[in-house]
Amino acid sequence: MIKIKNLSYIYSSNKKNNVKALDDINIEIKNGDFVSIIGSNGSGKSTLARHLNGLLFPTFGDIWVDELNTKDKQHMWEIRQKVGMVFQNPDNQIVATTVEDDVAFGLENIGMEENLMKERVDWALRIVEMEEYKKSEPHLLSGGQKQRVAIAGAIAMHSSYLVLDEPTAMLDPRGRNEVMDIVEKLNKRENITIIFITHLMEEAAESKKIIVLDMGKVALEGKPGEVFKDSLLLKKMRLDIPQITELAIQLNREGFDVPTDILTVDMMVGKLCSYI
Amino acid sequence: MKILRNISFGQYIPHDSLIHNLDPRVKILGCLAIIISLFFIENFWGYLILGSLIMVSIIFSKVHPKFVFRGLRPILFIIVFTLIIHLFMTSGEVIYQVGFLKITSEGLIKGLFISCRLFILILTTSLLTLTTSPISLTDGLEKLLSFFRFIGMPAHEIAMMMTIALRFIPTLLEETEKIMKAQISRGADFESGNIINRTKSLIPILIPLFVNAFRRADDLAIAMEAKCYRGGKGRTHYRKLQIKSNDVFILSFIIILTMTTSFLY
Amino acid sequence: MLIHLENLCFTYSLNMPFETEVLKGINLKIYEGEFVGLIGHTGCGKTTLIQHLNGLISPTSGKVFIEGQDINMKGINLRKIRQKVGLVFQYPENQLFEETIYNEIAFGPKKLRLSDEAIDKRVREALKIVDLDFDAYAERSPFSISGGEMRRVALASILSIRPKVLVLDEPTANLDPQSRNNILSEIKKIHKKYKTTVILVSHNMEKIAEMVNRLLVMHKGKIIMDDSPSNIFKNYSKKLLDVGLGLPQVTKCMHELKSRGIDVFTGVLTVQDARNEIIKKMRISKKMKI
Repeated sequence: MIKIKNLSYIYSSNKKNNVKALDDINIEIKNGDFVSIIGSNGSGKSTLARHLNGLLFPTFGDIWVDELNTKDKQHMWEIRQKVGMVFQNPDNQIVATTVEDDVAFGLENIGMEENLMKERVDWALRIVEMEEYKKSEPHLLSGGQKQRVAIAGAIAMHSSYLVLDEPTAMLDPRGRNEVMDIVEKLNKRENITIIFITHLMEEAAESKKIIVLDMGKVALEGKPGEVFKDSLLLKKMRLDIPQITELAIQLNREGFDVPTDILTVDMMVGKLCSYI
Repeated sequence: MKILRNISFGQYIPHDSLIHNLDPRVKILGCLAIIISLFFIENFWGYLILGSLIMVSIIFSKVHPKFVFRGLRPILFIIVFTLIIHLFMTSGEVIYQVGFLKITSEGLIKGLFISCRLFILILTTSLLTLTTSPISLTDGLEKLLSFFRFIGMPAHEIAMMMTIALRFIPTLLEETEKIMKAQISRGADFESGNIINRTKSLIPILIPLFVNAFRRADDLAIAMEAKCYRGGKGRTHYRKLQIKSNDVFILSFIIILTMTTSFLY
Repeated sequence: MLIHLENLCFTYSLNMPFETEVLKGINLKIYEGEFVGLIGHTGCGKTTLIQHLNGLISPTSGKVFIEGQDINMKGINLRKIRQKVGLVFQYPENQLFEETIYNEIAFGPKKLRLSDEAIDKRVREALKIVDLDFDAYAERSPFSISGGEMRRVALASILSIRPKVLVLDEPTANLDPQSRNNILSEIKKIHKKYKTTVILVSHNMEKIAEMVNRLLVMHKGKIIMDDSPSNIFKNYSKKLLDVGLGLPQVTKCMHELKSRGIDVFTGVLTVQDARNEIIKKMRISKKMKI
């Protein structure tokens, strides 16, 4: 379990003194969860993500990963092994000249024995469905493929938690689907706890729990159905709402009995046809 | 430029050959031995022996000679230029004269010696990069440099830097192409004008490239830390280098050959 | 006719081991004032196609005519062509390099050898179009602003050369919703006010559908559909799905309703259109007034 208690993060930038990026955040993430953290630019979602594996330390408050406090320097590496992280730019996470060497990078860092590494690398590549690209060079891969390699590199250390910070932002629709499929598979089949950061409501719709951040605070929290009920509020928070949800909001505004938590075309069609 | 995207970076051409399968350390040391002995040899027989060694190696490497000799193309101009300089500039016994240009026998010999040296030097290094993948090279280099760790040599860091550089060269080349096209599209001109103008015209490419490179470095550092990178201490290696009997035999052979050749000739 | 592509074919690495045929016989005529959308999967050839429009790439066979001129003929001054056809690549903020935003936007006009007064006028005009206040931004470094603002500065740096045709490759890639709407409304403004011909390349079917009056769908190096978005959505929805492209959600909704026997117009493009159509053609109960 990841426990975040009274987390606040304040930093000073050269433009303004003391920016409060996170303000008294309290969150609990249980093993096997699939949590999406959504928020617009500046909501603090990336800052929050980086606290989960000790890349950033709280100014106030604490974060415990499996009862280890991220502020304890002695536990830092153990925490980073437990919490894998994938970032937005597919290119800027790949360090080695071939796919298999990059997936092995984390294992080399933690000093794993050589004969165990090969098996682990193969396992990770199998899960992200990139085994046939084992010997490929990264610059020849598509965006979606690169992100899958990044995911393989992160889970190779047998992380029980995987944080993905807007992993599809720079991908085309095909790449986005590849990544979303793998992430779902990781949660359902390998029981890896997923913390998915995005500003797209559609991507968050698949998760079990959604946390909405706005200006460093937790604005909403709950299951997708509950959170998306107030899509107008989400729109005000500058989140990307699906076109069909916008239609639901407009029909609702015109006085029609159409709920505003409609996220998919099927839901809308179902609702509209129920009146016939 | 699109070609670069399709062909793997570097000259490495994979084959299952005696040379390809040698430990990279042996190949690096072997090359060093050959190159060092080049500077001690003062006799054509010496160059002939080394040249034969290279030719035999090329055969054993199963790489088509044309690829090996391709490495000479960019240097051909320098070799010819050096030859000409030595031909005409060395004083001594004149064997041919055209106007005030004198060709001396000493010049001829010296010029040919230096050409031979450059020739063998390039062929040796070409063969090295053709038969050794970039990873093997950096692994081999790291292991060799780590012998000097006791005097503070940051072997792992150097190898890590090399790996990252090799990884990003194709990406940065692609980036350069994109930036060039964007700037050309708004009127930039990289071809006309004198040397000063042409150098100035590189600014719209270099600055974005640098800014981008720094940003990448930043992102990459964070990603590496997230994967528990903390320098070379305690790190293991995915690819294990193992010295086999072939390696020992061949390296000894090369060293003995080069040393005797240097002494004799 | 402004742009005419005649049997345009292009093969990468011709006669070499990795030869790839990217464009297979493109025939296209674009007229002044059109707002054209170009959509297709990664690898269908969109980026290669648009690079032919300003002479960055020459066709392997076929011709490219800009205002009647074959731009690949010997002796053509490509710089003049590049002033007529302005190309904005994906992530254009990657091309910023000057010390001030003013200089960045002035780069293009300077290359056109305009007078200082003319350059100044253009910079001010371009900043106005992208909704950035001259006094607040002109003297700042282009690296000191947000990502969305950088993109607008990059766009302004092409606008300042006053192209007749503006070609944009994924102008809203990786932008937050607000920045995205800003850029799209600025593009709409450019088309309407300055009568610039616009070619918009995008993956985002929804946004592109509501903006353009002509939609080109590319697949494996060919243009397979060329019509108004409304007609394409009404008549070729299945074909779109076959090539892996989707419909905007509201359009998909209409098709679904139609397939269940409800007589709705399936060529809707915007949320408003869909809303109006549903209200008109369906009987849905109103909310209970408490």
